[in-house]
Amino acid sequence: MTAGGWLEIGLFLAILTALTPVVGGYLARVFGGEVAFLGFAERPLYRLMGVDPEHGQDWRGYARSVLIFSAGSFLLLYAILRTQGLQPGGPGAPPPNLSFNTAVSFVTNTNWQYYAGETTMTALTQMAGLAVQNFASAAVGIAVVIAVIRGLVARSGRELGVFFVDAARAILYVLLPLSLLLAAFFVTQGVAQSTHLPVASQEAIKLLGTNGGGFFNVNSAFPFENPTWLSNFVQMLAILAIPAGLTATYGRMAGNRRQGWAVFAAMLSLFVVAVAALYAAESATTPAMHAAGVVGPNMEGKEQRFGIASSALYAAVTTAASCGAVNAAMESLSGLGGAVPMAQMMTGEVIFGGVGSGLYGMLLFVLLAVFVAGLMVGRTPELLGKKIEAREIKLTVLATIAVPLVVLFSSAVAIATKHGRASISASGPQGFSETLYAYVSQGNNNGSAFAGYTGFLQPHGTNRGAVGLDLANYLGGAAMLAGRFLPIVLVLAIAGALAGKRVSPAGPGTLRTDTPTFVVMLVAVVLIVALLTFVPALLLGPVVQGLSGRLF
Amino acid sequence: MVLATILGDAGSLLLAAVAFAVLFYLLYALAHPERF
Repeated sequence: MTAGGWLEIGLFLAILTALTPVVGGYLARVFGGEVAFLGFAERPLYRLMGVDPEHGQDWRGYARSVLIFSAGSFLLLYAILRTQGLQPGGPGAPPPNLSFNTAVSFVTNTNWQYYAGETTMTALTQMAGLAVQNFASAAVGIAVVIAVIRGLVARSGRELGVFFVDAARAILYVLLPLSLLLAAFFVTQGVAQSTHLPVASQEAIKLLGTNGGGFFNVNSAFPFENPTWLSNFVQMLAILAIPAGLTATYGRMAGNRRQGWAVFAAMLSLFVVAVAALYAAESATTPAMHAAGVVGPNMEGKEQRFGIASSALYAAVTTAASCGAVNAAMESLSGLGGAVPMAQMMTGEVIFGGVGSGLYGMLLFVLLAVFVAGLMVGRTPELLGKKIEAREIKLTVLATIAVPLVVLFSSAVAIATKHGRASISASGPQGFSETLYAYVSQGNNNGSAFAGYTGFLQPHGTNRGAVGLDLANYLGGAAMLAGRFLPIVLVLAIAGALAGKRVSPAGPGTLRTDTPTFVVMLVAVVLIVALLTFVPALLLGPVVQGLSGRLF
Repeated sequence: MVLATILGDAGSLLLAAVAFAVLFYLLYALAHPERF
């Protein structure tokens, strides 16, 4: 570890904290309807879609719209992938199982990639298929969290807003303008941008929307995607800008900015621990390196031009957010270093998390913390003046255990079956880690990978004669769908239940949710509920690898 | 021909259809708890 490395990490955290109220304030104005400089494009769009922006949807209508929009998005992308063979001069169509996995992956904001973009997709598919879903899936996440916040703060009525309007505003006022600016900046740094290599444009939304699907197989380790220290630094900020900013949006919409800062503080403290652990693990000589007579930091799989600090910070940022873009090989992390990204994803991607999904995931833990704290000190569980009752807690528990169940079940199936083991390339604990990482990442919609885990074989370097592995593609796809939409439906149901409740003024019996004590409580609940579920699995994979002097 | 290409493997679409059907059913069940 070096002073320069810590300086970079410190600078990153300071700028992120400074950006949070700026981004959050803007988002609050956008979804409060105060920003309207693109009204001329908005109104015809709503008329075309038959949407009445004044007529709000209750949680059922909102959830139905999310599901219909996402199912439609899946069909569109699947059709583009399956007809890619009709595009002249391309590599042919990817096989059905890979097309399924990829279509689900981009629609669920996961961007898990069994394929290599440069040998599997045409530039047209990347631009018209994948990049479009990068915008759409990110907009879905933002829209859902805004609806959830509206439910939490509603003073009367049951309406959560109009899904289509929220999603359109997220794209028009947030994602598109920021992507344009960011893409232009990347071009100044030397990122490729042409009709054959539309990289900078894809790169911008890949980061801002916490999507993560790279144009090239090696993602942001490739100089065409990420050429300089500055482009690397800005990429990391772009990943966390919106997820962090949304905490401030929450505070503003709740009419008490301290509520937002409390959630931000909980996320930041978990993140700081993760970065420090990852940086320390990668700076040390691993037991396996000692055994081989090599001394020094673990540079395997890392870019010389980025070094340990920039690689460790990037790995921590991308797995805290559900981004999944990488600038170093995740599988080459040391045993304990590899445990950190997994642990961050295992929290359910609530340490900043994906755009929207991170905050609504953390708000579930807020409800749980309020409930547990209420039981401990004998106070009525309340959040923002609304009583938390049986239905909300039942739904919260369902939503928080759904994804861990999906992850553990799919990992178990993949490790216990012949078809699942066909995807593993390492052996021993590293082979187990490959499988566990694959389903933790897909179930939590992250998308980064221990890349030895295979679901697609291309013997000729194109899609002709290529084979997708059925179990890896279908099981992964199912895990992504469940991991994305079960929490969305449940969290909207909670918002619906809370929207209709009366707000009672804070009294002496109220447990405050904007204090440092509550932040500690929230962090403890996240760690206990989320991580303890996965400790046995972490022990079997990365911890054994970290303690072993052998390479697997 | 385009349709045949897309439908080349009905398994993928079937799985997606089942997944979304389950999600819509969950939504229905949550919206009408009194019927369960």
